[in-house]
Amino acid sequence: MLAEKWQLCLPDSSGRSLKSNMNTDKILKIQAYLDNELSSDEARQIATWLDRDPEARSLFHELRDIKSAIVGNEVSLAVPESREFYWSKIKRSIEAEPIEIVHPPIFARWLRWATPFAAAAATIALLVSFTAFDLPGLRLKVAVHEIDDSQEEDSSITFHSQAEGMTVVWIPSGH
Amino acid sequence: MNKTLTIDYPTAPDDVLVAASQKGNTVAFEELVARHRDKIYARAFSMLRNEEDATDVSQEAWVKSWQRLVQFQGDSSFATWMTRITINLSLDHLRKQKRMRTDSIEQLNEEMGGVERQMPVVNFNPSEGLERGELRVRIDKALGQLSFEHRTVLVLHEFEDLEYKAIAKKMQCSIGTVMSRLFYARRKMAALLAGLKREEFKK
Repeated sequence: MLAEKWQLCLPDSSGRSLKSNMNTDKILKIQAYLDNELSSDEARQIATWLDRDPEARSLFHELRDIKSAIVGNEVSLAVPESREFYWSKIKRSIEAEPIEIVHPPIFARWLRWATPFAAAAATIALLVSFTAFDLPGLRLKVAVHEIDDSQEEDSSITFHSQAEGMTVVWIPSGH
Repeated sequence: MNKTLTIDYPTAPDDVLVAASQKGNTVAFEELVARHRDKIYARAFSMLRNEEDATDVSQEAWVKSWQRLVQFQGDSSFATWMTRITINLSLDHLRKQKRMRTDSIEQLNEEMGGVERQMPVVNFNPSEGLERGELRVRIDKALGQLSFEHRTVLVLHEFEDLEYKAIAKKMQCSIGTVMSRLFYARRKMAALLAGLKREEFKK
């Protein structure tokens, strides 16, 4: 498609129309140059080409003139209904449908704060589940195999590791 | 001390009205609608070219904006945000319409640039010797004669000042297609405006 040639009729100095075959890619680059969509290197190349080629320059002028005629010249229009009638339909709809609820910033901040704790809780849950299933391949060397929470009795917590042959009992101060 | 914040709706700036609307104040929202409704309707009409459709789509845009108002963070002006919603809804509407109709050979030719490719270069400035009001009417008339793909790309580029990449994203097509459509649209506009001028000379 890019190799397609465009036949543009360009008038010569006597006003006769001459058919020109410009490469599509080059033609669209003239337009991109007009719209400031080219890199500085490409823009320089096109500027040089426009200086040398009257055919390309003629097309550039047409595109430039039509662009400048259109930009900023949109016709002003007004809603063809009264303010009250137009608003009444909107009002009916917004009263019928609830406002979309999006997490307010304070909740988003709380989520950010809670994420590390949630991750830690998930890790502990994973370790506990390994222990519960007691799969040989999943047994960790330095893992907490038994967590005995005797809080109901005296608030002390016992950690026991079979691999290390070690038991740690944590007693909160005040006991 | 109990502080009551009162708003003078007709004179309050948009951001005050938006903040009040975000808390569910429909009176503030009604003022925003009254203030921007013509601009929003005009954008819908420029793309849809039908009064009834433009009215419906613009009202739908207001309802959508009310539902999503909490998402508006003030990164752009409220009017710009509203216009973007309207453009998206207009494009959805056009796509639905297009799916419902079968493209004629003529339309396919236009898409491929069958006519515009061989149009002579227009050697006059379309805005020359015209009152601004008259030029605007002519531009609007010529826009109405373009296919919706060509008109939309022209509206988004010349009136909304969007770059090729942003237009491609909105229209769900490649940048190359945007460039090609914009080129055809401009050439056709040049020819249509030249035709209008010639008709005037004949009178």
